[in-house]
Amino acid sequence: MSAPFTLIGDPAAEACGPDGCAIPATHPALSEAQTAGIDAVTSEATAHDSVSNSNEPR
Amino acid sequence: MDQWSANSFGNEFPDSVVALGMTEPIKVDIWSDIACPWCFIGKRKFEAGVAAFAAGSDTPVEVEYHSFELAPDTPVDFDGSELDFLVNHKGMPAEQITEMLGRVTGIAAQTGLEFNFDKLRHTNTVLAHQALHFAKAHGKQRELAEVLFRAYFTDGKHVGNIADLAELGATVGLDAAELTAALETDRYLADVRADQAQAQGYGIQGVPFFVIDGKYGVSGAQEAQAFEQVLTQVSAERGA
Repeated sequence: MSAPFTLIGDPAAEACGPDGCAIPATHPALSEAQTAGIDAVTSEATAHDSVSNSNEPR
Repeated sequence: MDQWSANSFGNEFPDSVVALGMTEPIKVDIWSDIACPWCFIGKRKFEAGVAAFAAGSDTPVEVEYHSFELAPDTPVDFDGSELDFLVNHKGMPAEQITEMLGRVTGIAAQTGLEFNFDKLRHTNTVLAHQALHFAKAHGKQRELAEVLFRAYFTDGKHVGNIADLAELGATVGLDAAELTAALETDRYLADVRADQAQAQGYGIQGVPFFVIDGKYGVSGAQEAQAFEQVLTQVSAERGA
């Protein structure tokens, strides 16, 4: 069986798999709140570049 | 299966089908696990996306949850904290795990959710999945999913044994005795396995995973706008 649908959306969106959950090293919303204009992460892509997918907690 | 529409959607969902009108609903199939933080966060983002879509559309959205066990080998009763579990089973330093759980807690808070990993009761979720199938058969699946996520991540309640699941089920109007009987006899285990087999057939490797009207797959806890866009797209394609 193959997927009968088309994958859309951000492929780096956080998810959990059998090996654990992706935990971003930072997150746009958190960065805004925490840095209040000081070196805030400015793009979704930047945040997702730092996502780790292995050996993270479930 | 549960549905809601533009006029009924809010932070608290209705208990039953409402205001369906004549339009065929957009079906959303969601694979998730109760023990999945991104599934609860993704649920909130999805709901926000549906709310935004519903503000401009009369097309109802119908949701069905499907089972996905992230860690089927997890014991029902784990004597320790989430931190202990992750240290023991993932082999990661406690400090690193604490930091990561803090990050997830912060992200959850951004979506209005309260995560209390210090209270979390790590457990096997196969019975919770069976309870969700029982709830689906009784028109209460979405309500029970919300209760189970909240029980697990916010309230530190056990969601892995029959007595606790029956009690939680009763809070959404399910018959505790009937639910208990269903869980004791694994009445819905085949449905859980069927969901898992379908996920495997689709190549779904992580959750949450959303299939919109059987046409589009959306992986992970996407932003609300992504869900709004795909619902709008599906609605537009129907009218094309």
